[in-house]
Amino acid sequence: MRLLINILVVALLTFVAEMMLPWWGIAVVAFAVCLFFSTKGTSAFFSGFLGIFLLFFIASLIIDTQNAQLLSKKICSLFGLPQISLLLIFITALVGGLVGGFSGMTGYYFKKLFTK
Amino acid sequence: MKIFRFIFSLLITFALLFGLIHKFEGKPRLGNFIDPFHGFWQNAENKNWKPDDELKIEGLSDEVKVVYDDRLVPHIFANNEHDLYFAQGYIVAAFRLWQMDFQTRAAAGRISEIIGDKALDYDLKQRRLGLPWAAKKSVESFSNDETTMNMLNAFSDGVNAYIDQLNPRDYPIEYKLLDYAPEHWSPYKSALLLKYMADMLTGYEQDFELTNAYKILGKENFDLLYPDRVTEADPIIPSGTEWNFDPLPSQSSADSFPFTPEESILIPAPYEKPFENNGSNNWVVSGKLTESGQPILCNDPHLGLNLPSIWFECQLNAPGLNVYGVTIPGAPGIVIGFNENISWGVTNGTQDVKDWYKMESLEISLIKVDGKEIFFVNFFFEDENVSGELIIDTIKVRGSQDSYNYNVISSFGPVAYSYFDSTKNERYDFALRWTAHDPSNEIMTFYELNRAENLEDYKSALKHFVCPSQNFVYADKEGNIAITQQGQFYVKREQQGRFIMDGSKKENEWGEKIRYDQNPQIINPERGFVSSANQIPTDSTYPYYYNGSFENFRNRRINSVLASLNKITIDDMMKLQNDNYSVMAEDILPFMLDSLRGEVVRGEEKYFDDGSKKILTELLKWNYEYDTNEIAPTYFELWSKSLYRILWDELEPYEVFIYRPGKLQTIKFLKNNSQSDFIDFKATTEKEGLTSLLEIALTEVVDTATKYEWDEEKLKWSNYKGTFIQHILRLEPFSKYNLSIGGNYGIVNATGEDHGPSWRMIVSPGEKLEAYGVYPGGQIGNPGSKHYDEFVETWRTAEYFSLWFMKSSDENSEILFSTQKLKAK
Repeated sequence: MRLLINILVVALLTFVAEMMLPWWGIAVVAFAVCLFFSTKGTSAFFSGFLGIFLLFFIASLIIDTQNAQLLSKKICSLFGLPQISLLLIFITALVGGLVGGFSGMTGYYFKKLFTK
Repeated sequence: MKIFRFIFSLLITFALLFGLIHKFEGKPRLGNFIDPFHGFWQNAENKNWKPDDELKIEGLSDEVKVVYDDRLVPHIFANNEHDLYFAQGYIVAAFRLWQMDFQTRAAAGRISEIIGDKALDYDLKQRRLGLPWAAKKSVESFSNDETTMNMLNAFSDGVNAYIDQLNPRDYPIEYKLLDYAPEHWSPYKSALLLKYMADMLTGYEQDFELTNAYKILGKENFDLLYPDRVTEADPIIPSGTEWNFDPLPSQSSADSFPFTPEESILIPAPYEKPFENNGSNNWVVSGKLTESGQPILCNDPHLGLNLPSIWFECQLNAPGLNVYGVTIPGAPGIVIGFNENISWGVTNGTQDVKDWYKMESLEISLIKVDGKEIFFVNFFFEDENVSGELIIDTIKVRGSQDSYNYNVISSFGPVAYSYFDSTKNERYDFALRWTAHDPSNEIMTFYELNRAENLEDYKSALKHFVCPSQNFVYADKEGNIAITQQGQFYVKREQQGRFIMDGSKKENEWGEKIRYDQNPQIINPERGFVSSANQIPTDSTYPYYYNGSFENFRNRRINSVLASLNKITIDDMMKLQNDNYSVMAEDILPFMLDSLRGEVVRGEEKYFDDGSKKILTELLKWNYEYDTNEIAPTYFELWSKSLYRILWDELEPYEVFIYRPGKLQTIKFLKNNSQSDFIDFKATTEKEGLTSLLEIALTEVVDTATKYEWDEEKLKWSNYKGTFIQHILRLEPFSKYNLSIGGNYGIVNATGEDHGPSWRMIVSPGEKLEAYGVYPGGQIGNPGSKHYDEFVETWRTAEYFSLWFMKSSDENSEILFSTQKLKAK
């Protein structure tokens, strides 16, 4: 339950940060959220990872659907990938998720440096 | 232990962030690019996107109404000129910002700033050719003209108003890919764009190549292969037209003989030149010949086929002005189009207005004046030491140190080329005299044409047009038709400017300016039509000398079709713009077949293998149409190309490149000089006659066809040609490949591999104004928009859009898409 809440908090705050900060603001959000709310290293990772993964996945999926897959297919070719939009959406989410996961974990372990 | 976990996850996080933030050579910054809120996803335009209903923009003085039709052509209605050009700037930027920004940076030689030192050679070339220098001079010259400055400033403010409200997430995708940001527009940038066009359309010349050819071949052979004029073409101004003016005398009687330092030295030509086949067609038939009784004007400029397209379609309306047509993103106004009264179109003039001079003893030295070190330039002119101006400018190079460019400005123009002969340890410097460097205000021509009501307005509008020279066709609702080859031309002596000239002699300077009313022009000619297709402008009775690279085939087809038609309809004109008939094939193929069939007649048919027979059978029944599904044009192209190559193999082995003789000249040569030494194919030991030359060429066709496995699908003309429209950055996924379309260079439908009709327009002015047009692109430059390339299919299939010329802003139509109000902030 706590994990779920953390995931949602990360997703929500990341969304806000994306409106105001450059893209790497997502790392700051995951770091901060896990610093304050996480209780375990693995849960910190998954809070950050899943929070951003889900946000990125849903955001790009919505954009892609409204765009009728026009651009995503072209970007797939540009990156030398097969023209499968979902693959690109997955990669987008994965990149965001990894940044979120590791920043979250760093946040949690940072806190642990100062607590027993 | 805690500390290790912390350091471990911190390191991974940093490594990830570094990889995603760092700019790797040739790659976008991945983190930003892939982020759904900042990166490319933001460029994926909603398929139901509509322009905003209302925008508040700082800089407008009054409300502007913009009506978009279903092809996203903006019809801009403003209450004053300032707001009109401001709004045009704003909207063009919204649709095409990256393209206009990139093209003007290219014109200015500033691509290295974006992509690093691999563009350095290109940038240096642009600067040495003096394009940014000329654009600066243009701005100085039109800064005295209030109308021009007001228009350019308003346009520029509009572009900048758009740029200023952009968030980096909204940048066009190319900025994100290349990782840079848009910069402010200015009148200088519009001037750069015009110079870019001037270079594209007049940059082609052959001075070095012809000089080398003359030295290699000697006068007799040179004259045989490279005659100054080929007379078969039907000139733009019909033969026999009288010239009712007293021409200015040519001041110089000096010899135009090729001049270069020493007879033995061959100097390779500088720089890659613009594509030779940047041509165009235009014509007007008078009401006497049409079914409706109204004139019909047609125009299709042939340029590089790119995405985003070079043209942007729009309508401009303000008090005293209502005009529709296309413009180049970055230039205010309409470049090709029509208003309620008149219509106009352009083709390239292709007279040679770019000449090279060998400079004598050019020296750059560092001297001390009042304790300061300055560069000093001098060279010999008329046995005197003359000083020149030295311009040093900095080229910023991404990822490395600044580079510098030195331009010496001589009395002719910039010293744009220096050749170092390492065997002699000597440098040769060449200055460029080019009308693209003349101060000029071409924008004013369009400003006035946009408002023109009659012939007088048309004539006076053209006065401002200096370079590139263009054939302006004209038609009005009164039924007048006209054509003028307009540009600034100079009095030249016979053959002047064909070869490199001695830059130390005053007599080699160009003569006086030719007055614009003495340029080739004709109004309401007897034959009922005017036309141009980059051919020679006049017959030999025109009092001034000129040379150029003129096209010899399209004009004959257009004129013969026009002369054969009566009760001409718009449909007929659409057919003619898409006509695939090859006059070149008609000129030479029967001769080629006859020269071979001699063998057949002598009962040696067995001499031909099955492959050759197959090819010849196709060619014998061919009607010279370059249609998509024909195989014969592929065979003819292959056969004539390989014939051309092995015929002129004598011109191959020299250390410098020289052009092969022109196509029409080659045809004449084959027909009249079958005994010439050039006929021999040097690669073989035998001495070939014409027939064996044709046979060798035919064998090559068989080889190619065999490579294609005689697959009829692959050998079909359109598949073999494989027309493509490339994104300006040559990114494959943003380009269109293998378009099935007929035609070729030298054919009215001049669609080649990647050049062709870039805007087809047909306008019939009069009581019932009718207008049609199409270009191979789309209004929005964003590859993530469905409007990016939405006209391509219509263009490919020779169809047109009916152009909606609105009389007032509240007019309705079934193609009305959305209405937008731009309000002053």
